[in-house]
Amino acid sequence: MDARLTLLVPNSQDGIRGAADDLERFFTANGLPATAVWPFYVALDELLSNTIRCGYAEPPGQRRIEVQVHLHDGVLEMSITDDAAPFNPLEAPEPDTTQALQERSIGGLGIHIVKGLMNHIEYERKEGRNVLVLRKRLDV
Amino acid sequence: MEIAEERHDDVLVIAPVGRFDTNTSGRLEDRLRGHLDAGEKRLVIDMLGVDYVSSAGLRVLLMAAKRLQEVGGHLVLCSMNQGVRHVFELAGFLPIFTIEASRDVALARLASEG
Repeated sequence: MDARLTLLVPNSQDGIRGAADDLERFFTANGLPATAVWPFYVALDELLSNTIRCGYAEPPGQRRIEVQVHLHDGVLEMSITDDAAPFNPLEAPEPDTTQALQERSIGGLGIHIVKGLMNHIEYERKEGRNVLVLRKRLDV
Repeated sequence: MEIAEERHDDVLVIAPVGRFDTNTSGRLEDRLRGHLDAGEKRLVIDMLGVDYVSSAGLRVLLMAAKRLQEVGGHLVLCSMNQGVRHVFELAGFLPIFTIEASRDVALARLASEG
């Protein structure tokens, strides 16, 4: 099986919701159950929300973030490309996940969770754009 | 996000349904803040209908847990699916929340905590 999806996501909260909806349609069309693909909804939410919150100075909706999904041989690969300021989310400091309740914050948790969910994750700054590639073998 | 509510004596059960992410978490946050501001101290958040949770959802749950701890209240989460539980595990959230397998067990747990 080999299937691809390309989305151009507006840098806005509505854009993220639309991308999740498009992803859901793609997964359903390719017979992939939620129990196998839910890590990609989480990754999409974490990474896109980081980009739209921190990446662009202008109002939401003006830019497009490219999301490409490739399903092949039981492996799902997702790449997220934006033309915001250079930013490698993998370099963010690891959060402390051992503190007591009142000391806990969620700073840095998003990317930490995504790293834990994926088999492979890499960042590249290429031709003026941030490119993040995620890969996971699906448990189907 | 739809949010169902049910009361069992002095315990309020809140059951969000669907995605629990940057788009939907604000709704649950508003609802929880309203209840906490009104003095609710014993809460069950039933996650049975939650498809998945991202850190935006964790932030809301963390806010509720902290506030309840501050006033000597109790929060129990229940009925997490495997994906939700895995995210909790990665976030290091399993030790800081009370988590039960079902709503019945969650209610029994709160009943026994007085």
